[in-house]
Amino acid sequence: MASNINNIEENDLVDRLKQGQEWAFNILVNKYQNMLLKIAYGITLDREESLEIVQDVFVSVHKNIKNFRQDAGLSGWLRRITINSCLNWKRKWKRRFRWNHQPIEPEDENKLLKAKKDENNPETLYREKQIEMFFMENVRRLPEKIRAVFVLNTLEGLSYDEIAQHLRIRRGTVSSRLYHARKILSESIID
Amino acid sequence: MGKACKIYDEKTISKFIDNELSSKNIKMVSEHIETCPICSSIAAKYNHLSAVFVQSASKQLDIIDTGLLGQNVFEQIKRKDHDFFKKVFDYFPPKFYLKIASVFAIMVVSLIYFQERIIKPTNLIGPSAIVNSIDGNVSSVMIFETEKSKQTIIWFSEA
Repeated sequence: MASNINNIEENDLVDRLKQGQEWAFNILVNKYQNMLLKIAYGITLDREESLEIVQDVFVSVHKNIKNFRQDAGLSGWLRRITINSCLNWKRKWKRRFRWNHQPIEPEDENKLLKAKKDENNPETLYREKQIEMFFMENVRRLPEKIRAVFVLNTLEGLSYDEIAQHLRIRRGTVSSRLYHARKILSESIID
Repeated sequence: MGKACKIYDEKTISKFIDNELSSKNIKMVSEHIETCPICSSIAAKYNHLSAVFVQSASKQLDIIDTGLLGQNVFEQIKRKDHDFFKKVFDYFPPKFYLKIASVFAIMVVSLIYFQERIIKPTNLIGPSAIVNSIDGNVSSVMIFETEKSKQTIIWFSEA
């Protein structure tokens, strides 16, 4: 029932967007900006770029809303545009340079250390921050196709079928990529 | 290198934590994990990875100021609406312009090719500069240099 209501709301929103109503577009931005930012940040791992990508996505939506067919649903359409924009973003050479440019870290520090339980200890907090930092560095090193699958599964909670549909790959490929992402990331954790 | 479970591989555990196994297999793996420390540890590790990623990404996303996002989008849209060339460009789909550009590029390349091969340029290259000139009562001499090959030409005239 709830999904029906959501569908009706979405259909209504799309109709109003097609009519060019500004407030409808405002609702669209407010409703979907967090979801799209999450995807964009997960793939690019860059706050400013993800914000820019999401802005461009909304501009693109404004331009192409008249051609939108409601088969995949609005959120699916938005998600797909965002994923494509993020993957195209990586192809730009300037950004690629920045992306590939990694700070030089001692070899040992690439291994994550297990945090202690005492959360109030400043040393623990520092250690946790480092763990997070090194973890994100490892996520950054994942090949973009693998990272995109990992992001959609982890941050968006999409099923294998949904990911396969969005990225236009097979379900088995989703499973393999997700496993590889986990394998690579878990190698940096000391048990 | 950690020990591997002889019953289930890590890929199956990965599918299990995503709830992507059949209901029969989910039950079997679930029962197995309760007794197998290796698989239990793998499942915990994979869940931990997801949790750390969600936590880290959420922290970064909280910093992003989305307050101006809507406003920026509208400004960008309005700017585009006023852009005449953009409007003209948007009139046809991008594929159309890509085709036009391709045809134009082929024409330019062909023109350059045929100009060099068929339409041979007439050799009108003359001397580029007078290097020196001597005017006497009886005769005059001028020394030139050709533009490309830098050959010297001596021009002599008797009065």
